[in-house]
Amino acid sequence: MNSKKSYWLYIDPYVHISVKNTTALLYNTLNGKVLEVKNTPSVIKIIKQLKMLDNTYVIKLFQREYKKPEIAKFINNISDLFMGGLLDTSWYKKKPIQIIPELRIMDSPYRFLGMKGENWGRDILSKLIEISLYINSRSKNNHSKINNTFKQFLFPSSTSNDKNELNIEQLKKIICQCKHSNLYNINILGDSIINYSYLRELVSFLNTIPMKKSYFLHYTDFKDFRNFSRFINFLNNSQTKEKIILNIFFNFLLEEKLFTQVLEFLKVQHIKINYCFVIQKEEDFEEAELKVNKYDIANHSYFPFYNGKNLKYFKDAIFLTKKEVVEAKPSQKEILRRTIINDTKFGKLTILSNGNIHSDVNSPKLGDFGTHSILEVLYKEVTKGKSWRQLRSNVLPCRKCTYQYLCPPLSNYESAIGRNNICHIWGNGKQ
Amino acid sequence: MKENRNEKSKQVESVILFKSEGGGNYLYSKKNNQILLIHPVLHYLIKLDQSDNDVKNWLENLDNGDIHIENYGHFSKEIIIHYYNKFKLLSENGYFDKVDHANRLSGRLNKKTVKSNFINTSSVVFEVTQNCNLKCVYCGYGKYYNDYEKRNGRSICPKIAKRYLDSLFKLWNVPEFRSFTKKVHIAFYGGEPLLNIDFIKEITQYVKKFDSPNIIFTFGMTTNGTLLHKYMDFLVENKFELGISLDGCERNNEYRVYKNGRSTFKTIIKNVRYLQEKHPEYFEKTVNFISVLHNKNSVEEIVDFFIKNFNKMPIISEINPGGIDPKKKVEFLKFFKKYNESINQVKDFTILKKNILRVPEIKEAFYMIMNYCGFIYKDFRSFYFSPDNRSFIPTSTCVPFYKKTFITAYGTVLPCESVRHKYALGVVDESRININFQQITDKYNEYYDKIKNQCFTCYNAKRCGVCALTIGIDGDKPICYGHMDYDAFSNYLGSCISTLEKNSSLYKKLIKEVLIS
Repeated sequence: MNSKKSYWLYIDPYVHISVKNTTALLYNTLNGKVLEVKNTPSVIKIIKQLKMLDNTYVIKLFQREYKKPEIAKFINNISDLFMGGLLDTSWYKKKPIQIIPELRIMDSPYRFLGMKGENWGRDILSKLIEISLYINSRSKNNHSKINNTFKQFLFPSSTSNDKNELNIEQLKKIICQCKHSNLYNINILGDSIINYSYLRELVSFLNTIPMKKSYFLHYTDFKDFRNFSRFINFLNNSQTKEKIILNIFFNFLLEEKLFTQVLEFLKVQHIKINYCFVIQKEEDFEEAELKVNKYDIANHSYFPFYNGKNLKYFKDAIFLTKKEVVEAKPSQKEILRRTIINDTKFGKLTILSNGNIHSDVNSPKLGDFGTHSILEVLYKEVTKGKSWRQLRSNVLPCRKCTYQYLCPPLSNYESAIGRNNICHIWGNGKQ
Repeated sequence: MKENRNEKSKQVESVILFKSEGGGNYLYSKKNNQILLIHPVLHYLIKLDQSDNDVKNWLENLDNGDIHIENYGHFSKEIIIHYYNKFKLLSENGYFDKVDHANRLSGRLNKKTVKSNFINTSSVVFEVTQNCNLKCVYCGYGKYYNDYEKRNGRSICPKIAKRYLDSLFKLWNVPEFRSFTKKVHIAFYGGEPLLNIDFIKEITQYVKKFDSPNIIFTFGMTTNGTLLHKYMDFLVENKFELGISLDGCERNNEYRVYKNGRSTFKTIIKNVRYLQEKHPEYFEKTVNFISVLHNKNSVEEIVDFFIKNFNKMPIISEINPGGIDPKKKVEFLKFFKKYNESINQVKDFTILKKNILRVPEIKEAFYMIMNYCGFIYKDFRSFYFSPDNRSFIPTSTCVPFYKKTFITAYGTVLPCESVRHKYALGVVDESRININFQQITDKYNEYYDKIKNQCFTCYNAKRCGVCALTIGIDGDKPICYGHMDYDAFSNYLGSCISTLEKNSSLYKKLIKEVLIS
C-alpha cells in the first residue's frame, strides 16, 4: 500500500454510538449486533471523532493510523458487523457525509424550555396519548391496607384510604375533550369498577368515542357475580367491541375454585380478554405458566411485583443482562425516542379516585379533578413536571453507562425498588 | 425488490440512487426514509437489481476474478460477497420495500379538522382599507392583475371585524380548543392600513378586553412607512410587529411611488430614521423590512442597503406571478425577477449567511434533512405513529384556518392575503358569519382530487412546496410546476448532499441552530 494512501472511515446512520470515558458501544439497529470497545484510547478517539456533528460519521484515516493493529481490528469489526467501512479518498473530490442520527421534534414542548415563550401551551392537548382513570376506591367497604401494586403497573385497586369515586359528569367532560387530542387509549380502573355508581352511563359514553378502551378487573370481583355479569354484558353489547379490552388480574395464592369459575365464565364471552398474573416469586411464575398451559390461555401477561422483600427474585429473574438488553433489539426509533423523552411515561396522565391528577402515580400531583382542566395539568407537566422527561441520561449510574438508551426507559419499578438501574450491566460501580 | 424501470413514469421506485458533486454514491430509501452513503460495489449491486437482474444468480455465476467498476477500479469476489451480504441486510430491513405512494397521498380533509383549525387559529389578518396613498407599479391590485375582488377604496367596518373575533373568542371554552397558553396574532393589512388608524385603534382596544394570562394577543402590520411619523407612538405602545415595505436604495425603490408618480424614498427613510431615534429598542427588536425583487434591484443590493443603513436583514419576495392579465404578461415579465436567479449573482455571501436559511441551496439542504433523513419530525404525532399507517393530503396547500385567516374589507374570508378571492372560505358581515365547514371541506377535497394524480408520480411529494391555490386548481387541467420524476429527484438529493459536503460544519449548524430541541 502507498504510505500516503488515505481512506474515509464511515459509520452507517443506522448505527447507534455511545461513548463514556474509556468505553464505547456501537450498536447496529438492523441486525442487533454490538461492538464494545474498552480501554483502547486510539480507537476511542476515532469513535469520538466519528460521533462529532462536524464529522457526520465520516473521518479521514491515513496509513499510519489504519495500520495500527487495534485500529485495523476495529475497522475489520465494524465492516464484519455491517456498521460501516472504508472508502478510498481518491474516489472523491469532497469528503462524503452520512446523516448522523440526531433526533429533533419540531413541536417538542421541550424545544421551548429556557426560551421566552407564551406559546409553550399551544396545542398542548395534542401531547395527550393515554389517560388512566381510577374511578373508585373502597367501593367494597373493606378496610384493609391500600395495596401499592398500582404504583408499579396499572392494577385494579383502591388508590385512596377513603371511599370515593369520580364524578360522572366531570369524567364525561374530560373524555369529551380527549376526543380532540392524540389519545389512543383510555384505562378504566378502580377498587372494583363493577361497583361504580354510574357504570352503565360511563361504558355507554365510552362506546361513543373511537379510542381503545381498557377495563381492569380483579378475578375476586367475580364474587359479586350480579354486578360482574352485568358489566360483562355491557361490554358484550357494545357497538365498538373491537376497541375494548378487558384485563383481568390474578394474584397468588389463587383461589382455585374461583379461578376456574372466572375462566369458564369468560371463555364464552365475545370480548378481547387479557389474563394478567401478578408475580412475586419464581413459584408464582411457574404456577402461572402451568395455568396458562393447562387452560390454554392465549392472551396473557406477567406482571412482576416488588413487595419490598423479593429483591433477590427481581435480581435473578427481572434484572436485565447485557445480552437481554441487546436481544430485545431496540429499534433506532426507540433509541432516539429515549434520548429526549421517557417513552413509557410521555403523554400519559392518571386521575385517582380522590381527584388527584398525576402524570404517573409516583410523581407529584399536577392538579385536582374538577378544579384544573386537562389543558392546565398538561401544561404543568410540560413546563414543571419531570416524569415525561425522566431519562436514563439524567440519573446515576445510567448516566455513565453506554447501554443507557438501549435499556428500556425508567419505569415505576425503579421508583419502587429505589435504584435507577435494574440491570446487571452496572456492578461494583463499573460497567 | 425488482422493478421495471419502463414503468417508472407510472409508479414511484422505492430506492433512489444519487451522486453528489464530490463523487459520493448515496441511496435514499423511501420506505425507511433514510439516506445512506454507500460503497461503489453496493451501488453496483443495487443498480443491477434495479435493472431487473437477479443479483444472487449473478453472483453465483461470477468467476473468481475481479470485477471492474468504472472510475473505481477492480474489486475482488470477496469484497463483492461482503457487499452482497450488506445488500441482503438492507433488503431484510425493508430498505428496498415498495411504498404504496398513491395510498400514502390519498389523505382527505374532513369537516372536523377544518372546524378544529378554525377554533384553534393563531392569526387573523384584516384588510383595514383598500385605500392606498401610493401607486406602486407592481401592486397586486394594479393594472397587471385581473382576478382580484372589485376595489373601490372601501374600508372595513369595525363591526365586521368584531363579529368575526367574537365568534372566535367564544369558542375558546369548547373541548376542541387545544391550547392552554397561546399567542393570537392580530394583523392589519392594506391598502395602506395607517389610512384607517381609527379601525386599528378600535380593534386593538377591543381584543384587549379578551386578554387573559393564557391568551396573549400580539399585533402586527405591514405599512409603506409614509405615515409612520403620525402614528408611531401608538404602534410602539402596543408593541406592533412592524413590516415596512421598501425595496432598497432610492434607485431600487423607484417602483414605489405616490399616485402622482413622486418618489416615496426620502419620506420613508426620514420616518424610519425618526422611529429609530425616538424608539431605538423597539426599532431594533420589532421592526423588519420587506422588499420586493424586480429589475431595478437585486438580492445583493437590497441586503447591502439594509445591513449598512439599519443592520437588518430584510425579507425579500418576488412579485406575485399569479393572476396576471394575459394581455400584459410580456410587459410584466420585463420587471419580474426570480429570487433564486438573483441570489446566484450574489458575490459576497458572508452577509447573507448571517441568516443561513436565506441562501436557497442551504434552505433546500435543510428541508431535505427535515423530510428525507428520518431523524426530524414535525410533531410528536408523526414521530409516534408510523407514516406507513397514515395518509397525507397532497400538495402543501395550507389546511383552511390552520395558520391564519384573512378578512377583506368586504368581509370575505380567505385562507391568506396571497390567495385570490375565488378561493373564499366564507363571508362575514355585521350581523352574521357565514362559514360552512362542510362546503369548505368538499371544495378542498375537490382541489386535491384534481392534482393528486400528478402527486402520485412525484418523487418529491413529501417535501412539496406547492400551494394548489396558486396553480389554477379551479381550472380543468392544473399543471403542477413542482413535479419531480426519478431523475429530477435524484438530482435534487444530489445537489442537497453536495451543499452539505461543501461545508462540513453546515450540518451541525442546521441541527444545532435551526433545529434546536
